[in-house]
Amino acid sequence: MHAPAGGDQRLDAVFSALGDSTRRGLFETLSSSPSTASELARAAPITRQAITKHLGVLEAAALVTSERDGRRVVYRATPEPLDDASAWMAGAQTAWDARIERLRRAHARRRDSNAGQ
Amino acid sequence: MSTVEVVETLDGSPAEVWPMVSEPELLQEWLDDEVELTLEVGAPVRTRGEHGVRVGVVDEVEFGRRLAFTWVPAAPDEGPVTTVEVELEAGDDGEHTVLRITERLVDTSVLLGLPARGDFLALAGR
Repeated sequence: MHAPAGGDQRLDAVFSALGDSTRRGLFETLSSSPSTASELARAAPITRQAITKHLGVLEAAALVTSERDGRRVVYRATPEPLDDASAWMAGAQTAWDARIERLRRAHARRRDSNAGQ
Repeated sequence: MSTVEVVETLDGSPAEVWPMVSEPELLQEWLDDEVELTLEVGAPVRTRGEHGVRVGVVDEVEFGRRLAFTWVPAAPDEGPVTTVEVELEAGDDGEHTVLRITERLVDTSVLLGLPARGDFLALAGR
């Protein structure tokens, strides 16, 4: 139903995916060693089904990819979407810095003209 | 991680600064080229400028102190959905105001409880 995800829908997905501590933990684990859902479940206090669900959310945000290796499905972390996230922050910060500078000047002008009346 | 904040100390009391952050004609001097805003919870917001057209809705108004709105780019590739909070606080000396603006990325789980982008566009009469 959705149009192909643009950069910003991807960004929503990235923040949403990493807004959960279990998924952040899985993402960190996969960043150091690619694993299957069963391997991850052995090291975590939740079921394999729950792990698979979390991996699906991470995969939808393009933070992990899966690859079939015989009967195993191996997940690995792909950190590239995090660059989009920091790009949004940098852009937003720059935009607000410019707005604040304009606001500071407009406010000073307004005070000066009010004082002159 | 998903929040951008700017803090600025301005001359004058919060009552003097409030029009700068709440009156469309004054907002047009700094926020964006065109600003439509009514100070009422649920009222539509519309801005147009360098970063494209954004529409949204007023979430909170505490007269003279605080204003919050949701900001939605009219085109999906022009930026993510965010909320903006504008807060004024009197400085210790009574002659300054600390302005704090926080823009937060609205994640998709929060969005499920909000009107879809199309509804925002309809609300803004676009």
